[in-house]
This record gives sequence, C-alpha cells and structure tokens, in this order.
Amino acid sequence: MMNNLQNFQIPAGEPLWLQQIRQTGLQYFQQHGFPTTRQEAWKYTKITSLAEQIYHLPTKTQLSAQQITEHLIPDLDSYLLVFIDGQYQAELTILPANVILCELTEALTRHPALVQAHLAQIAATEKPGLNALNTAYMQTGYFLHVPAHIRLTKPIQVVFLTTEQPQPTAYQLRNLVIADTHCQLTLIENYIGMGNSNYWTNTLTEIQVADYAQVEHFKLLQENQAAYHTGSLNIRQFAHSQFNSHSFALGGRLVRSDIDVIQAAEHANCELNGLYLAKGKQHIDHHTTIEHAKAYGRSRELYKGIINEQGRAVFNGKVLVRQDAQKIDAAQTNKNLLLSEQAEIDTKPELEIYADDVKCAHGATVGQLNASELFYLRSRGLNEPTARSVLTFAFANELLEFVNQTPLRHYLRHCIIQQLAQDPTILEML
Amino acid sequence: MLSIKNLHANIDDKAILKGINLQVNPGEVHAIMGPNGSGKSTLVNVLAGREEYEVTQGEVRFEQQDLLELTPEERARAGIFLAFQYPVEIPGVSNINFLKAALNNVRAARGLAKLDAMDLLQQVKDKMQQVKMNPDFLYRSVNEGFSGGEKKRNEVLQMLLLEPKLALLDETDSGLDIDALKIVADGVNALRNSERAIVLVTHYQRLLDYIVPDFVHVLSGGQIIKSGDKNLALELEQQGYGWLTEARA
Repeated sequence: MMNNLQNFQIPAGEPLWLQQIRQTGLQYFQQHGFPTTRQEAWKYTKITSLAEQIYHLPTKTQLSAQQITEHLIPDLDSYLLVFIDGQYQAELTILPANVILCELTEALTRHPALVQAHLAQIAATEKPGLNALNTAYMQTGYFLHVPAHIRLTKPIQVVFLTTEQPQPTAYQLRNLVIADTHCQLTLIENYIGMGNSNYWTNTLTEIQVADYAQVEHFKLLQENQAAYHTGSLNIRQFAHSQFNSHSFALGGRLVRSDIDVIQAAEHANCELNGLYLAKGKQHIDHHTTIEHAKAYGRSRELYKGIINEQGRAVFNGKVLVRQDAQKIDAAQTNKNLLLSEQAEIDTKPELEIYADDVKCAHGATVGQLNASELFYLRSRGLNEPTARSVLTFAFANELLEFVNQTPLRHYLRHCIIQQLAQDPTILEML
Repeated sequence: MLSIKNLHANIDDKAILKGINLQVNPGEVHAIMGPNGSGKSTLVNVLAGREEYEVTQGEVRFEQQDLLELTPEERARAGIFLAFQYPVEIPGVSNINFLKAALNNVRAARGLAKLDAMDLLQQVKDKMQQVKMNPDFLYRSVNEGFSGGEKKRNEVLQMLLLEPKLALLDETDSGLDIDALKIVADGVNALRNSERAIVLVTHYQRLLDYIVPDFVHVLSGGQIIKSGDKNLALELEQQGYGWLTEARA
C-alpha cells in the first residue's frame, strides 16, 4: 500500500533505533494501508476521501504577532509552544524552569536517551488505524519531561495552527510527555485551522504518568470545516497516579480521536471527559479504551455529544479489566443530544471483564431538547432560537465544570457558544 | 382583560378542557380549585402557550388580542406570566443573567430601554429581599440544586421583576411550609393593584387565607362547575368536592 504523502521524506542520519521504529510503522502501513469500514473499530468512519487525497508539504506562511496572539487563550498565564503548519516557532516559546520542554527533533539531539526510552513505547505502532503512518513519518511535535516532585503551577499551552494553503497539506505530529513521580502538570493541546483549505492533521501523543504523578490533559479540536483530524492519545499510568483528560471536539470536517489508557500499576485513577459538537456535514468519532491491568484502579468517563443538521457522531468507550485487576471501580456515561431529524449518533459501550471482584457501570442516552425546559424559557419572553441555544449550552456546560482554570473555562465557553448559538445575542446571557 | 369562551383542549388526543368559560377583569383575583386531574394546570398552561396542549375549540382574548395565536414568548411580552408548578433547572445559566434576559425582552416589548447593569442589580436585590432570597442565588444556575421552596420563591421573584398584567400561578403553594407560604403570598399581594389580574390554581384553602380571592371557581371534568366568592373555598375545605361533583352527576 502506498501512502498519499507527496514528497514526505524520512529524515536521513537519524539514530538506528529511530530508523527501526519508523521502519516498523512503514512496514505495517504498507501491509495494512488505511483503515476501512470493514474493520470493527472503523465501522462507522469512512476515510476513503482522505486516503484518496494527495497531500503536499505546506508552503511557508508568515503570520504577524497579532495573528498568532489571536489564537492564544486570552488571559491565560501559561508556558507556550507554537507550531505553524508543522513548523516550530522557537521565538514564541515560554519555558518553565526545571523542566525540559522543547520541539521533538531538538529533544532527539539534546536528550536522546530520554526520548529513546519512551518514544513509541506507550502507543502501539502496529494496530489498525493511523499510528503506524504517524510513526513512519513523524515530523515534529513537542517533548516534555517533568522531573520528580516538580509541580508546574501554570499550564503548558501548545498551539498547532494551520494556515490557508494553496494545496492540500498533511501534518504528522508526534508528542511525548514523561511525567516523573510526584510531579504535577497541566497540558493544553489546541489544534486550530485558520483558513478554509483542506488539510489533514495526524497527531499522536504519548504520556507516561509515573507513581503519584498528576497529569491534566486538554485537547481542543478547532480544525477548519474542510480539515481531517486523526488523533491518538496514549497514556500509561503507574501506581497512585492521576490522569485527567478533557477533550473538546468543536471543529473539523472529519475527526477521529482515540484515547488509550493503560493502568499498569495499582491504585491508578483516570477521568476522561469529552464534548463533541457536530453540525453541517461534520463527522466526529471518539474511540476510548481504558485498560485496568492491575488492582484497585478507578476510572470515570463522561462524554457528551450535540449533533445538529446532518452531523454525525460516533462514540465507542471500552473498559477492559484484566484478570489481575481486582477491586476496580469503573463508570462510563455517554449522553447525546440530537437537534435535527438528520443528525445521527452511533454509541457503543464495551465492557470486557476478566476479574471477578469489580464494579463497572455504563450507560448511554440519546435525546432531544426537553419541551418543558423550552417552554419555561419562552414563557419568560426569550424567543425560541435563544431558548434552544441556552438549553443546548446548558447540556454542554457540565463538561466546563471540570475545568479549573478560569481563563481556560471562559475561552472554552466562548468557543462552544460560537459553535452552538443560532442566536449570537445568547453570549450576553451566558 | 381575559375572556375565555368555550375553551376545549387535548393532550395526546385526550380531552382535558371541555368548555371553559371565564371572564377576568383588571384588579381581580380568581382562585381555581378542584380535584386532581380536573384540568386546573392545563388551563393555566394553555393560557401561557404550552405547545403540548392542542386547543380544539373555543376562543381566548387577552386585551383585544387573540391569545391563542401568540407564541409563548409573545404572550410573556404581552404581559402574561406563569409561575410554574415545577420550575425547570437550567445548569450553566446564572440566575442573574436569566433574569436580565427575561426582563430586557419584556421591557423591549413595552418600549422600554434596557436596564443598565447597576440598575438591574439593584432592582433584583430589592425584590430578592422581598421574597427573602439570599443574594447568593443570583450567581447560581437557574433553579439548579434549589429546594422546592427556593424554586417557588424564585418564581415569585421573576414575577415581581416582570410585573405582568396577568399572573397565572400553578400550585405555587404546593410543598411549601407555612413561612414560605407567607412569603409567596406577600409577594403576590405586593403585585395586586387595580390594573393587574391574578389567576391562581391551588389545592388548598390555606393559601387563600393569605391571598384573598374575589372569585373562586371549581373545575371538575374539564369544566367550571361552580363559581362563588371566597366563602366557596371555605365550604370546599369543610365538605370536599364530593357534594359538587355528585350533584352534577
């Protein structure tokens, strides 16, 4: 199977171990190609149009400082890394002390042992999907190492901006995070499409969460309406660690976002929260897997979807409890709001349990706006579109309540309202 | 002000209102009583424009307008207010912003300018004092986590702010202890004047000790079977509805 990446080169002169990793990815992809709807995990998400598109390397775009600042989270005091069209913007970086935060190829040169020890160790390269292609062609991304006992009080904001391009472009992004014991960090990945051109972001993030470490990860998907986004977030948790994921899928023509968490030691705790908004002809697919490999683990998952017009969403949440993983407490909820006749959701919880002393719960709902609630707002003088927007926002709001940083919460609230509102004056009200 | 003639309404093809006739003039307070399932809540909900109910016959005029042609929001802007039996919780929308939106919509319909933030806040706080609500409730989501009594007081607060011409109260007294009942009644009485009318639906006579009605109507089987003054409510308290419904049957 040939890939569709025009002029993408695997860099020469890389260390042998990295060449081997890339080779593994390349071989897997050559054998298996793009995933198809014949594969269970891709049953509802057809990416033929992506597979048949030829993608080019981007031409360099200069953005003014103001154009870049417009895409940062307002009032958020954060560390910062900016990528524009897959190019790292060193001059914009704001670095924390006592921590390694840099671009991936720079990390390969300066911290080869650290990178070698973890890269492609957490995410499976050889699995259906696009991990293999990412591993073969990874170009850039961020590398973060937070040493033991370091607690970062400010979040790290990583922005992936894609500009308007004359030809379809593709970005193979690769991120690696090593959170050592007892450290604490918050990471925000923000994917933003600026223009209207067709591009494809294929991004893969690996995070190792050591004993007692606490990691909070945000993924904000604001790709443009012509863009394809395939993303894979891979977590390995150790004893007593805490990992929280917040996913906000607000943009993109077609989105496939995977999260795979492995709790590889006892007393690990994870929470996965997600909101997806699909409208127009958007297709948004989330697949999450939480693997409880050891005992006393806990997981919580809440994903909510709002689907309007001809939007389509897919949610598949799998909880896998291994034989050794006794005393697991896992709960998963997926709630969907369908706002039009044509809107569609395919939701599927999957429990696979091999231990006998566990507590696992799951539930999925699909519904519409509540007529009594609509009437309540209208009976107070709010017109119908406003009332609908307010209630739709209220449905989404639960996910914002998990966001502790006020500027980030305000930003997200604004982005969500922009996506949802039929009536822009609703902003005044919320 | 409000004139209901031969009003029939269905829900899910089941007839609930079967020919209601009622005339409400400015300054009057009407109490609607009656056994469970008689159509009391349906009546006030139909008047406020709830769309699940289908009006099959009859006419309702509100100040020269064909009320049944108006959307719920148009009715609100025309001066009709329904205090809900079960006020709805709206997470993510603060009470103050909700009150602001409601008030500004209704004011705009009356040709009044938007209130500036300070004036609005002052007005709201004054009215909150009137219904003995803690100002903290302003910054909480609408009705979210409110007790039953707090929700009812929040309804009265909205009513006091919106200053309707016609206030409809749907069992606003249910589930209230005596202190809360007095607060709600004081709120309603504060609104009473020669230009406003109030229609209140209640199960119990005790609310009428505090809000003394001009007229009491008994609704049964979707029709008003008896009307009288406040003494009718006392009679019902002592004798129940049996003597009325049996007499009819």
